[in-house]
Amino acid sequence: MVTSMTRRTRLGLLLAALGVFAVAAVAVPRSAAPLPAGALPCTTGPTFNLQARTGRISTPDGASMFMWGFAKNPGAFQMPGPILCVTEDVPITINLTNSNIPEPVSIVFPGQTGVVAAGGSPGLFTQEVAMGGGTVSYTFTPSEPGTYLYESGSDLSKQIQMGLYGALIVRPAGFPSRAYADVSTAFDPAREYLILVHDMDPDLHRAVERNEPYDVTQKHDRYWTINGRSFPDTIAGDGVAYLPAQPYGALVRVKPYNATTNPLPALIRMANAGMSNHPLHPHGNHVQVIAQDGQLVGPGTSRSSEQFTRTAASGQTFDMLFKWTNAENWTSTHPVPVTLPLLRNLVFKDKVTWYSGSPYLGTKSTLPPGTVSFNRCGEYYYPWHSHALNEFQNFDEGFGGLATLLRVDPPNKTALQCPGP
Amino acid sequence: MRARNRKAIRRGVILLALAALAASIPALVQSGSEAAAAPAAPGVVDTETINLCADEGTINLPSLAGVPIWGFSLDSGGCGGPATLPGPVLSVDVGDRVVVNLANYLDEPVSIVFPGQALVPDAVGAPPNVGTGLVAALAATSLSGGSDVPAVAASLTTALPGDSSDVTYTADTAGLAGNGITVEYVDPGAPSSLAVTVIGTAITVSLATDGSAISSTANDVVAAVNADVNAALLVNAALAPGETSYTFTASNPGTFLYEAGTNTAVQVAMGLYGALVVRPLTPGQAYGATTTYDKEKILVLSEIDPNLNNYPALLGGPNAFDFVGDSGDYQAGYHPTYFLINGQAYPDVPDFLVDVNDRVLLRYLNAGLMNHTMTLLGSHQRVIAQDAYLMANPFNAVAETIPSGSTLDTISGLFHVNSGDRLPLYNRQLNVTNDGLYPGGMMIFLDVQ
Repeated sequence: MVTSMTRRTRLGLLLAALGVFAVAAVAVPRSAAPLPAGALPCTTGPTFNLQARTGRISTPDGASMFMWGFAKNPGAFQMPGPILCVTEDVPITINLTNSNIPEPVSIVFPGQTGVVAAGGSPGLFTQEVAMGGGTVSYTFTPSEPGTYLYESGSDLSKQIQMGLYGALIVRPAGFPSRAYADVSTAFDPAREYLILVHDMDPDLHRAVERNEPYDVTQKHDRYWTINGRSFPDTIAGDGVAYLPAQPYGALVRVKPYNATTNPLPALIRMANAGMSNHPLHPHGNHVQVIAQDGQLVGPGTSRSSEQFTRTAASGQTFDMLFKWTNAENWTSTHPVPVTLPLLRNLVFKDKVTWYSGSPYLGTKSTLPPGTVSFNRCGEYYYPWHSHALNEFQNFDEGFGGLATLLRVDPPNKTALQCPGP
Repeated sequence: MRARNRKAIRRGVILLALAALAASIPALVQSGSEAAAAPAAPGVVDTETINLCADEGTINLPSLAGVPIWGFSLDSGGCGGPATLPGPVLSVDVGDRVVVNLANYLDEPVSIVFPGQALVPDAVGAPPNVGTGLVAALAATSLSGGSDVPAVAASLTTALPGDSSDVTYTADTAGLAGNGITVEYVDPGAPSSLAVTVIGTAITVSLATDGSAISSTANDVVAAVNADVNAALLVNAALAPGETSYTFTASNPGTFLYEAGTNTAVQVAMGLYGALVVRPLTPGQAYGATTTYDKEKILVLSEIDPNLNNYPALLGGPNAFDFVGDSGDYQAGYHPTYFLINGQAYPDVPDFLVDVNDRVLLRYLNAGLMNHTMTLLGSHQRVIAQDAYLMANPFNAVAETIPSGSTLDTISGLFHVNSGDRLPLYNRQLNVTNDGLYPGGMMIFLDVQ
């Protein structure tokens, strides 16, 4: 195990996992202005005013990274760009200005057709806008629901890497709580999550900041992000004060499936804006992949599938439905069929954990003396992480990077009893 | 030395090659976007014979000229043209019996494997271009009383138009078979040096001995003949290629790779690969009626690390290159810096001209060592087949990965584009640089007319 961790990257690892692979993290952030739990923090149109500008993000090891990003206009720098939520067949316009990036920037919309660009100056892929060079407008009608990227169409190998990307979510006309028009894609609107991944080499960012050359073919990633944050910041709430430029959390939070009280699945929208392909592994669980690149693959066709690792290629998106089923219904009167380890045999890395001390959902129990638990109400945690394990760290310090947690709340507890991030 | 020899032989062969090319090869081999070949009559098994060479060559990359490669080219008798990267597109009809003859002019064994075809992979390959085998070959021949012996290891190609090529002579019949080229055996015991004598059209090559055995190699003979002004007027000497042959039946339509099956890490990285397209009986279809298209583009994807290709011969050439990168050599480790479509990097890649409402078939073949993810802006790509297997559930993709060694076929209906649009098709892993400089690399534009 790594020994030279900074305080905020310290994680506790429960070695007696009992089927629940429990990962613990520290520094539970206090939410300054939390958004409703699970509701996707959308920016809605149909007209979007965006600016490209420079800024900084912070990484869990205490470093900061110089970035270029799309932000609202007017608005502060943020990473990634605003989550643009639109409705199928409604024309949209994105107006882009370039506040302070010293080269022309643009936006392309992979998966969209008929994009008309006006203003600015001609670039290799589309119309571009130089710093202070007015506004370029992109107008199109998203004709198919799904999860898409929007990203720079200029100087790609530098600008997308520097952070000029964001997610575009197209909702089916008339069915805002379905991923697609098909009834089988209905989801719980309070359980819609974005997992927008990216990879970063600090040398690139430093070189751009200092206006020095950088050979992108030598890129060596050190940080990986979900929604602009690296684990464990990914599990902090939306809009937490200590991550002012990284407004979007990635904690996936569900309650056990119940046909009557909790019938709808969560919707996980995954998109890869990075340069490498990234495998997302929902630890101990399966997700049902229903769409790829905004194209429904099921249910109802043979391509829909349950997967416990889904690799998203660069530029690719996946939509996944997720239900967590308490299959065994373990309780103290229906105990787990294994011998529980003795307290004195448990070791928690750095003496911190998110484990409740009990294998039973909704129960908190004793932990070894001196162990700090961040468990609130006996909820379960599972890591969802890149199974390219070198990406499961922050500059060689694990756990970190391309990871978040699945939190399963007890069904019988209220939000007050079971507060979230 | 080899480079000099190859240059010399090409001069002589071109004239011969033209007639053969015009006669038979173009029917088999197409450039990337030509129309489909006429199909064979149903039920008739055609035999398509394709003669390939494996040889050295060079390609020009943006701001980097003369990069050495190894590649396949068409063999029209003595290796018709310089090696290309990728090799020629081989186009056959489904059901054809395909015979591929390989003449290997490289210094190491080369085989061809045909992933997706039913034939046993050849890991042995054609032996190397015979370079030092003359002594052994002579020794293996039954010598009779110090008489002249066959020059089995040296292939001599005439430069005279209309004359025969690839002639090998025995000394006993020298002068009777047309060119009067003799390789004369000099009895051991009489030390002498390699000598070339030309009288009329007769060339006599006296092999060197050190007093007890022959010390001339085939390389020496070829060099001496080519170096002799009078002899060079009559012949171009070349080393005989190693040869092998492959036969298979192209049972299924689709997009396939062919590539080196020997020393693959180096040979494939150096360029020994190409596309094999098996066409169904109905023109204008990739597989069947659901895959009708108007225009097609073959996109062979690969990459080049110039440090591999340029690795100095003095240090052992590409085979001595440190792929893994643990040697401490500053060039060590395979780090491609050029990313190619059909052997070219943007902006050298020509636009693909299309029309509004075209159904465009893109045949991707990943011949490189890396996986490549390709994105087309402004239009959907419908993935219809992977590794030449028609999909039961074709789907639209924005960014689709073609793994190393794999092929992928997509059809894009250009229904939402306008005349004058230029649709970028590019590597979304952002391998869109040439030696780190944007724009470049794996990028091509569909230019809507």
